[in-house]
Amino acid sequence: MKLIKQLAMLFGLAGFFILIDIFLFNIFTSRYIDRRSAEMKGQSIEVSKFLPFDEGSQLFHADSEIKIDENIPVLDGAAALLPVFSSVAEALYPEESILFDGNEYADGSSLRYTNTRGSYKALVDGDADIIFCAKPSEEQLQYAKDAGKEFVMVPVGYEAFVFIVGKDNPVTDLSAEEIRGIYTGKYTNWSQLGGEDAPIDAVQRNKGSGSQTTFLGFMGDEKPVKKLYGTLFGKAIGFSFRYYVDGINKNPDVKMLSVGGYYPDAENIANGNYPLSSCFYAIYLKDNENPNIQSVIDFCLSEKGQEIVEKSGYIPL
Amino acid sequence: MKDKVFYRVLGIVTCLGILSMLLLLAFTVYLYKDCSIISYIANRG
Repeated sequence: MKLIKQLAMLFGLAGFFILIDIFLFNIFTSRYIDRRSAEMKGQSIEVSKFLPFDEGSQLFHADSEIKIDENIPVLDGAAALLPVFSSVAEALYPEESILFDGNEYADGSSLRYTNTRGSYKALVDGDADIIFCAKPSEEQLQYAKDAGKEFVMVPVGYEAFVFIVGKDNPVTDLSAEEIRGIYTGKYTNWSQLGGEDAPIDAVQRNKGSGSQTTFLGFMGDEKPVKKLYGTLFGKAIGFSFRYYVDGINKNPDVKMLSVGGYYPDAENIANGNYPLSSCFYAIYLKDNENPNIQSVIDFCLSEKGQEIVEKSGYIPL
Repeated sequence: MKDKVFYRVLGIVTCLGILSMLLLLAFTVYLYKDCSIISYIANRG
């Protein structure tokens, strides 16, 4: 009898830990697993796939009659815009000015890639001359101000800021006010918005990222809040740029929402019907005296430059 | 089973249980660092 009790305790204890692990896996671990196939993961931004002067590159290859051989402005920018500014570099710069060590761009290269936060810092610190990004965050503007620098922002193309949900979520359209209501806690259950009875997990990104900055601009004076219950058990809504969702990082298990009745397709973005379309910019410092900065900007706004924007998956001006 | 053996086995099962939880949490943190907002929403439905 004693042995049976002892075995029951041991198996009970082991079962307890197994149940805890299953609970932890289902509630936390499983939500962070990237379930895309290896082929789809390969569509994510990898610098080596967008190398200028590389035959196997996925870049759109544009020609330019203008070539910049000296005082070459260093280009940098956001991940999603790498195909654009890499293509611009290929069109304007000599091949030997772009230094890639197999994993990343080397010191002294006229093309760099440090993503949104890194490139804004590089611009202010003088490590980059022109960056391709969405609007700067308050912190990035303050960083420039503290350094006595001022940004000049030139719109180069249109992109749409999109809200995304799981593909099985029956909600397909929300108004801008409803979305703000989700993030301020006014709406906490999808059933309040025509969906199923499930808490809303309103996801945000890390501070300083391009999409988080755009999101905070979208929220205006309204402060987003985080609901723990929705985080643990809810169905999610989040945001990104259209190019990430529908282009390089396409995931069939998410869908973009229409906003105010307009779906973020190329037509609705170009004609302005989709309310959350916004520009992305070529940004440089006002006191940068490199004479070729204007040449790069002029090229971006030219027919060839706008063709790069379009062929890279964005909406030209 | 002698008490001494039983408590030793009980201790081992407890240690393995705690270790499995810690490994799972570490794996979760590892996945969290690489997970995009798009993958996260695809997983949550």
